[in-house]
Amino acid sequence: MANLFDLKLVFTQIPKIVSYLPVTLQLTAVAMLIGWIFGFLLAMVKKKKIPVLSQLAAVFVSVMRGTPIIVQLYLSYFGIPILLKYINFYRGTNFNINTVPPIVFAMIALGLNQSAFDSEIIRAALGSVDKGQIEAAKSLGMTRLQILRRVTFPEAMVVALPSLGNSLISLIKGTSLAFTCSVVEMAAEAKIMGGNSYRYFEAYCSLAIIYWVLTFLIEKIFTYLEKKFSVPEKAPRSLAAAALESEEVTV
Amino acid sequence: MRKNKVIKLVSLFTALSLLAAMLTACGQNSGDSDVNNSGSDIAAESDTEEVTVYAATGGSPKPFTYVDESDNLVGHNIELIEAVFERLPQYHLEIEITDFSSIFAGLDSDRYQIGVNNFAMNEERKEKYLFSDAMFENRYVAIVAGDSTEFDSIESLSQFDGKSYVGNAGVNVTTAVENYNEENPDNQIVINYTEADLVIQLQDVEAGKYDFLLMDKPMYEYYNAEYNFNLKELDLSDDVSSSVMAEPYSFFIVSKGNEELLENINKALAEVIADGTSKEINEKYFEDDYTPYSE
Repeated sequence: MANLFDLKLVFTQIPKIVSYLPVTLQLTAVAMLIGWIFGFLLAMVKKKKIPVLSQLAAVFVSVMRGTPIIVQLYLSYFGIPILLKYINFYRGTNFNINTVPPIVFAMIALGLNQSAFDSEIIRAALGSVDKGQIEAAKSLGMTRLQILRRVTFPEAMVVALPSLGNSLISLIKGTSLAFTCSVVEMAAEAKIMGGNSYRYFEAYCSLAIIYWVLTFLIEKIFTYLEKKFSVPEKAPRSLAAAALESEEVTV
Repeated sequence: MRKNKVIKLVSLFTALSLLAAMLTACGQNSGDSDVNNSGSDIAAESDTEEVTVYAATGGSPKPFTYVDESDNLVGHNIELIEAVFERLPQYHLEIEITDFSSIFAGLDSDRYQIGVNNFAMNEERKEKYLFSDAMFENRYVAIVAGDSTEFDSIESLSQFDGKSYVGNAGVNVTTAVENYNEENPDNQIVINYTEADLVIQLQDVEAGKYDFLLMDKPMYEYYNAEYNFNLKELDLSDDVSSSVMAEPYSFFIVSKGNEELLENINKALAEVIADGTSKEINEKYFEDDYTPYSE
């Protein structure tokens, strides 16, 4: 009987694929930060309706959300060199794109893509904060920064967190396309190992296990964060009041 | 109180992410610094300076190009291009591993100058890229079930009249069978098209679902070593071989505009073939010599 599925290999090759986890995490971490920071800026531009900029932001978000991430990776990694070739030709300069490490292109492409999604999440979250709350804070004499820190940010965070977690998970899986930019991360390593052993199916199975465990951990982290950030419905009561209340119920 | 904890948590997370980012940047810089120094535009090459040439490979199929257990890029194509560039001291060769389709995009944008992936020639590719001289001569075999005793070798595809064939649409072996059917309307081979992996196709032939398939010999031998099929390979006569592929050669491809580089590669490749280096590499990977000797 032919040896069609090597179950042992699925598990034995996991450590070798996991040795490329740092690359995946670096890609994810940097893209996530770009996504958050640039996404926040985009959200502010859209929220404040700054002329010209807000229209540009709308186009950017629409294009980034409306095109596949693999296409964006291609455009960044191969489009920029083509552009550079033209610049070199017409301006007589001698820029060389190969001096820039490939991972930078992947980080930027993934980060910009992420920022488009995150900007919408952040904009919606900021919009969800009740105006009455902000007015109340103003009437208490808080400065704008204080309001942002003590009222808007904590409340918006609760709304944004689950969606940000969601978009982080899709980003992690998006990093598996970075091989198009010659970045060898976990998915690329699995492909390469499949090329050596002719066992692509087993390699993809290993990969599925690793990504699932990884996203499971992230889900857990975000559940924990959501708990931490959650604003209680009622004002927290003192222990004494709680004790009193429970006594009343039992009586 | 709670807020403080939250701020701590967020700042910790940010700090960790930044650290990761910095590590990346550092790692990349130290790894690439030597490339930077010697890197310069291929178009602006001068004879005194060592020019860096970037080659791209997909890292598959084995044994032509693959990464071994100790993470080294090896294979017939890889060793051959390295042997070629050993004879070209004016160039410094950097081989990058990338997604297969990225090889072409990279050649188009001049990010890579050479594609190393056991490429065969076709009209579309010939229009877009420069081809080196042949560096590998392929051989095809017919694969039948292991207990089949009907034939010892294939002199003509007519031996398969009425039998069923399995293969991917659009590949050269399937086209050969289609052409045979067109030329012999009375003696048809039953073609079954599939998108399945070669492993599945081989398994189907083994199980008797289909009678035969055609594939290249070195690839089959590697598959069989891994999967240990109960199959038989039948050599094809020259006539059948040339119907499968008139020019069964593989080439290095070079991006347009690098004609001088191509000329140098061809010169060095001829040396590598003439002095037996190519034969050595072939025997190492295939236990047989597939070097294309010009007559």
